[in-house]
Amino acid sequence: MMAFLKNVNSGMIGLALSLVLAAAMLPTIPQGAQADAFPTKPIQNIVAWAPGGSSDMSQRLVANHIAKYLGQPMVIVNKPGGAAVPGTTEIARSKNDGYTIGMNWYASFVLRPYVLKVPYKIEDYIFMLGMVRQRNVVAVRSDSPYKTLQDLIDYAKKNPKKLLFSGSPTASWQHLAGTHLNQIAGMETQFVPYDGGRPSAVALLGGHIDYIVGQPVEFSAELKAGQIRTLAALEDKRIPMVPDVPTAIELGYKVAHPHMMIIVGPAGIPADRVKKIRCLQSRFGGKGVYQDRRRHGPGGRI
Amino acid sequence: MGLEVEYKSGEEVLKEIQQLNTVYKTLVPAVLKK
Repeated sequence: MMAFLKNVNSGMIGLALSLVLAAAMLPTIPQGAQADAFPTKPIQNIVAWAPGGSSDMSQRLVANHIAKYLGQPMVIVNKPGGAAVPGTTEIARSKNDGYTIGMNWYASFVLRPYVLKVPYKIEDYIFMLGMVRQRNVVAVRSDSPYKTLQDLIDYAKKNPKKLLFSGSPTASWQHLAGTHLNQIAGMETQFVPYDGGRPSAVALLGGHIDYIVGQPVEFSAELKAGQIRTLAALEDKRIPMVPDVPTAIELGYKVAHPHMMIIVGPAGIPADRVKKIRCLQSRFGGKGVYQDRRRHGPGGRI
Repeated sequence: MGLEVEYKSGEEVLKEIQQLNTVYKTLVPAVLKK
């Protein structure tokens, strides 16, 4: 489980830094824009991960800007450990007055309840906003005989258990996505656990596995160098980084495994307060500036 | 990059989580059993 969490967070520091820089460049909203009574005291934002990680940093940047707008601080409260279960639980058990919210990931509500015994359920939360999406693809080495996803599936169906794939540790998001593709396509391939996405990519390049289910960020250099070929995106729509690559759904295989960073709170927070928090989180996530930086490279045009 | 800023409303998030749960409810135990 810890290996899974490690994988989830891998490669995210850069994202958090981008968000910090992006938000720092946003114009400050005038203090006069404060009108609602809420909040009249600090808002607690529970992050179920340790200080300094990208999950933490992304919310600290938002907190700084929200404080300028609200006139009240948003206090980041880190509750790391226990596979994020204690922190996630604390959000559900907080008073639903809008003064306690939390940053989390889909895995807390989709994967962990089937892996661990968790004391919460989906109905305990209000889901306010999704902010950051993790995307996965199926990829092979560029000299692989499989030019398309269909090539790979056709071979695997004729040769059960012969193809090897990886992407991460056992029961990771990538393992589950790859296994789901097997089920939907009616093929049988073997999963080889590695310690994360990058080690899996190295194994692919070394010829130890036949294909990978992973995030393009973990082999972006090899993609650019033409050493790895992406066959399909396991998403509901195409991925901007590889826009010419079809989704598995487009190819007739209904397999999409989106994973998002989300803002949640205890169920029952008044709607006007949810709306305010949602607007501020989306405003200060820095979408416009961040995407501009993505299009124009690390330096961006800003 | 595998991670991108993208916004979804709370309703969209909940719907997606519920859809994933219909798959993961059976998929996760099957994967862990192997």
